[in-house]
Amino acid sequence: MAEIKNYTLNLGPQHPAAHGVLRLVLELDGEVVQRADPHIGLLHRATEKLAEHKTYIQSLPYMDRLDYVSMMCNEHAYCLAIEKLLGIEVPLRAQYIRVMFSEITRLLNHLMWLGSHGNDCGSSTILIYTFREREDLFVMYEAVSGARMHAAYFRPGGVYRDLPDSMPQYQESRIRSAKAVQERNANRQGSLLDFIEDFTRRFPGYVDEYETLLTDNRIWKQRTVGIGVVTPERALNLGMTGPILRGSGVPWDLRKTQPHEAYDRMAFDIPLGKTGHCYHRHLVRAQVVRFFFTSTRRRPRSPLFPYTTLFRSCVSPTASSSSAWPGCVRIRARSSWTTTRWRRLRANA
Amino acid sequence: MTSVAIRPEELRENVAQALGALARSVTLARGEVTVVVAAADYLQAMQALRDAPACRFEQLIDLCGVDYSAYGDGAWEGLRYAVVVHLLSVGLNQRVRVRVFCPQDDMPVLPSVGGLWASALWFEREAFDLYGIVFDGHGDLRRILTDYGFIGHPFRKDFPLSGHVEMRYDQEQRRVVYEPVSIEPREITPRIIREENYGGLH
Repeated sequence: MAEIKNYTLNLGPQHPAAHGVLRLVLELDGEVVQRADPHIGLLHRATEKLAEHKTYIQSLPYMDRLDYVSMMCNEHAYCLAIEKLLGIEVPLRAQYIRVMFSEITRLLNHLMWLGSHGNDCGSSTILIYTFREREDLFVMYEAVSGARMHAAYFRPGGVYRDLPDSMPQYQESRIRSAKAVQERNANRQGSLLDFIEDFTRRFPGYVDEYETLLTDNRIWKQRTVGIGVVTPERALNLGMTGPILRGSGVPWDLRKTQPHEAYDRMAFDIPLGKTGHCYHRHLVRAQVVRFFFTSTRRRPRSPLFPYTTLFRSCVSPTASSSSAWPGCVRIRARSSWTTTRWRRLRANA
Repeated sequence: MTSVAIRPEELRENVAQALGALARSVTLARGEVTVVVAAADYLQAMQALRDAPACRFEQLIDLCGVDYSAYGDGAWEGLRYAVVVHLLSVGLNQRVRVRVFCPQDDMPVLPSVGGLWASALWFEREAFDLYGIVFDGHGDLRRILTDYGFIGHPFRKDFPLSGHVEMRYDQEQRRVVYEPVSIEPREITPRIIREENYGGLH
């Protein structure tokens, strides 16, 4: 009988599935990975060392590049740290702007994840779909900061400047007629807030498309259900946070447990997974995406809040009215956190 | 401002009580609790923080090295290297920061807490890589972030920002070669000199 040994394989650092430069030294038994030795330093830029030699403001654009799919969230953490050290109180308007753009960033991030995860699992269509929506979000970035990705928009004490009153327009050219340009500019006639509102109105339809493509898709489920199971204890021990931790069913979200900025003035729900495998992590993130328009159209509890246009139609689909989400009712994470349910969970913990 | 569910004064009392004589100091600043422990008590104190019913820090969020040699522009007289750990309790919604100084400056060694929290393993590799702090009992203390064959510990204060070597592809040798750095350190903090009537504003 032949002696069978595990096969050692090098993956990356330049590999389409590595998304960036990740190198994995894998030990395979057939198709199953038995051991993986990740070499993660290929993108390390010693940001801390660079920041030691710069002023606080000069270091800020580096924060965009730490995790280049959640640019403003990194800036946010950096600004919050400086504000805490200096004891700066941020104006309420700036707090709302930062929360709104943090959520836009979250959506950018999750769309990138959903698209590329789908792509890696063999559905390249979803990548094209999510990048279509990312384009609109980049337009929002560009409108406030002038940059599509590395915005440097949040500053210690607030933001770089107020939201613009008008949106940039497409121009007529040799390849695009006046009529076509007019069509493309249709949702750019008002302010940035009008543009965002238009997006939040269109977006639920897009999420339905993603869910139609993936959530009930047999191939998708074959490749994710039961894969990479992480128990809650293991997830905590490994220091996991965010949607990965919630995918394992641990009720933890900083926006609820330790709310910063204006998050405690917002009403929003947080999906919670159950089994901790790949498919539930997908559901948790996909539902965060679905909750996005709840978050940008959050009900403000403060009368000071200036963005009446944005919040004009703030009736948000909550977790309990699942009939409001065609296509994701049958299979979804165990429960979603409504605010009251959340309080009860925390009280019992 | 960040608000934490549990009152920080209460947390400080709880941590001080759980650690007893193991803690050198338990301070509260800007709503955050910082514990300083001695290297000899480090492992025991961490175990207590994880298991004590009023602490229950089941997550290690961050572990990093610190080099104090340039602290306060040379005013620092104490030990050079420290390890700072941030713990989070998901169950009790509280955080604590633990600082422990390495007893020897020329050979900084501390016990590894990888047995308590698996997340510490990579962070300890990072602190070893960047600061040269050795973690006793780690089991797999390799470099994690720097280049293969890298020499030195780049986050030490005496390591220059530009490093010592640079890398390029050599056409003639047809391979990647390492050479001493060719760039000069430069001043990048702007010196702002405004002329009279700058920009016509005043």
